[in-house]
Amino acid sequence: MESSGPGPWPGGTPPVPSAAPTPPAPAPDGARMPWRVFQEVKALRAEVRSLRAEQEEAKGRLDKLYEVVHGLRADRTTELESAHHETSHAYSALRDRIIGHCRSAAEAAAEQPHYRAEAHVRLSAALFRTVLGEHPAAEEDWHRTAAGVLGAQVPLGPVTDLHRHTAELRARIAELGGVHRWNFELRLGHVPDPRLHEVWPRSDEHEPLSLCVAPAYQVVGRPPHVRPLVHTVIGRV
Amino acid sequence: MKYRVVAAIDFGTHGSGFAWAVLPAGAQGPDQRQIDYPDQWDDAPLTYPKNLSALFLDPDGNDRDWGYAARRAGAAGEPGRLEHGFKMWLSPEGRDAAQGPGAGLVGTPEQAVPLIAAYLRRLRAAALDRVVGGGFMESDIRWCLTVPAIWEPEQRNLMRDAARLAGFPADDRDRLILVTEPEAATVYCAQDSAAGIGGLGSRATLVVDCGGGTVDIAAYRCTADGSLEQLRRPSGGKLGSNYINRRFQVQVLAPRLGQAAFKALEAAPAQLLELMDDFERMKTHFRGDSESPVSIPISLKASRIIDPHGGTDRLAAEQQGVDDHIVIEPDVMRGLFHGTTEPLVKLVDTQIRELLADPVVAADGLRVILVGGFAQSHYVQTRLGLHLEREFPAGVQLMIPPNPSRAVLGGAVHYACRPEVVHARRASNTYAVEISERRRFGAVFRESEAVRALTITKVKGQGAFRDGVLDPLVFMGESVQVGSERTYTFVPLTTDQPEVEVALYAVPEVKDLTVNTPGARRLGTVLVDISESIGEEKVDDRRVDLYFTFGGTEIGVAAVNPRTGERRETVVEFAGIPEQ
Repeated sequence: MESSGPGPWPGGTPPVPSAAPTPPAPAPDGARMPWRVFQEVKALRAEVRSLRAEQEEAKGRLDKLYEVVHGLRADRTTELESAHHETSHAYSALRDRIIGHCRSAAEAAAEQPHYRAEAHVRLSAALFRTVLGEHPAAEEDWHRTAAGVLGAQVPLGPVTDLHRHTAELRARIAELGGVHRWNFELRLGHVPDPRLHEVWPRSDEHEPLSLCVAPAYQVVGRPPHVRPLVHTVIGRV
Repeated sequence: MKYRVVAAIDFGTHGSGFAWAVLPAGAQGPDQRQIDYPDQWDDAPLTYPKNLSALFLDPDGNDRDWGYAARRAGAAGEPGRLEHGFKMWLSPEGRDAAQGPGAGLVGTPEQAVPLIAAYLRRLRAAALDRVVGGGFMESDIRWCLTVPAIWEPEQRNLMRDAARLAGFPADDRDRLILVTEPEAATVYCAQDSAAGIGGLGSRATLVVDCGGGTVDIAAYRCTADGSLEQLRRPSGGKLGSNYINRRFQVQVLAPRLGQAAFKALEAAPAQLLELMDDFERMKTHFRGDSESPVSIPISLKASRIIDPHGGTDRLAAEQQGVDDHIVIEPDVMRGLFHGTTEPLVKLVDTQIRELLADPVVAADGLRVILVGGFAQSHYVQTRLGLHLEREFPAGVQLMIPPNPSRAVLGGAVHYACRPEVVHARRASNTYAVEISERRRFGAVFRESEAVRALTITKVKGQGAFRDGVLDPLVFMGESVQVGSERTYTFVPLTTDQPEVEVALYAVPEVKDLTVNTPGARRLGTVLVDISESIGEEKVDDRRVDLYFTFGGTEIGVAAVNPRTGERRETVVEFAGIPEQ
């Protein structure tokens, strides 16, 4: 029996099993959104993951570059410079001792304060040139130099200890490496620059430079570790 | 690693500096860290990792120059004034001394903070200049600021305030960390091969950090994983080298020049500082067994200042005609040291004896490491060395790194790279929470006098309570592992109380703990809303859970209402730990 009236199927015809399924009727927008959003979220997540990986890789490259740049920087205080730093302090201490020793000798050489001060600075300068010259000095050189400034009749006093310390310092510096020099250079005629020079305590800083008393401790390529001690003329109080 | 660069700032009484290192990605041992210690400062007489802690202020009070350049500006007679030594003004003595005679040399903490801030701003700018020059950004930097271990929390707070004013990220406790000077020095000796110590090993180590203002002493031991365990609470005193300088001024300079000439010199701080620089150098190299006098030259400028006040003539009269130098006889020089080094030696001796009382330390032996600028003094080295040799002929070894002035800076850099290197510290105080303690029958006979003095609150249906009792979480001197947590449960007094206030105290005692115990300080409070449980029949059902975390730099306090999940947090200082 055929059914002529309307059946339970739309149009009264049942679906044929072998036929391709009818494509789903377009769902209303609200029903389709979650699926599409899920796909979009999935794609975005993948993109974020990939961007993060890229960012991490770029960060790693950046850190490596930082490391390289840091290694190449010339203005860093390296271990070698730090070692020179220690020896420069030893030089500063030795300088004080030599100057102190010269003072005693100068006192014996001149009674008048002005001449005493003059003798002190001249003797100190001559000794530094002798003992910090290109070649190591012998102990006799100390006395010979002093005699040249003060006269043979004024004794310098025992310098064995100072001589030994000077030799030790020179040896320490030589062992460190780096191009070190005792810098005696001066622009004569210019007034001392407090940024570049240490002025002899009794010198008049407004007068032109006349003498480098004690040299700068300098490692080539770096500002001096110890500035030169310079003299102009003995000032009046 | 969150940071690419760590930078340490060591602000000292006499000198201040910074050091920094790059932290490349990936694991890196302390020996691979290349620490840069900038050592060139405008107008500095020598290269040194520290610039002078001085400022030159223009007539309007603005900082015009800093460090040695400030001193040069002062010496040049430019309009304005030179300020120095202001770190010491933070101490309570600074305030007292400012009201007493000689007030020209000292100031109050209120005057110190803006000056420290101005100085730190300059130091920070110099550090930034150096770091940014390598292509880094400011946000890449973790800063570490060093403070004396013996400072009170108030002084450390003032230092943090100054850092904030100077532009440091002081409110971000991860980006600006504080470390005590001896702890930084210990980390340096433990981790940096340049220290020449070869690591701390498992032997107990006493680090003596001798600075310009203070001497800090701390004891540590290395644990199996390489981290450090503090063995004793830090101790120390105001025994820095500046006290010798001050003694030189008061006992030698003033009497020889005469008060009028000395005052004139004080009024010209640049000249006085120059003279003190020479004294500082002579002091460093003075040997205890020396028989030669020490001569401090008087510059022409200084002579011109003292001469109109009779200073030159008086000096000549006092020194057998010598008027261009201050001649200090060796015994006088030893006397200047004596007042500082003898208490220092005694302090170290006491610390050693207390450490050796521990049989493990006595069996393993003890190492004493001397660091800091003042540790460069031959006199200090030999005086301490001879004492240790005589009193502890075996088992105590004195070591001095080749560059003791760098220890604090270098250690602070290493510490900032890995703060967890310090694994446990000793509490400097007892930390306790304030409670109202229920009184039991006959309690009055068991209560101490201190507790009996507290007020009583009677609660209907609950009984009587003593208010202001402190219940300890950590006892003074107890070893507290960094990151360890203590829990506590609070119950309100009444069923209708809308909130609970939790107060945390630090007390310098271990028994009879009340809010009235001398020295008790309220560190902070947390307020927890429990209004949702008003009406519960039992107060026990209204409890609040508290979690105290003893972190590397502070105590974290979290109060949790378990019924609502509401969480309130705060951080408070842990004295003995370098942060507030």
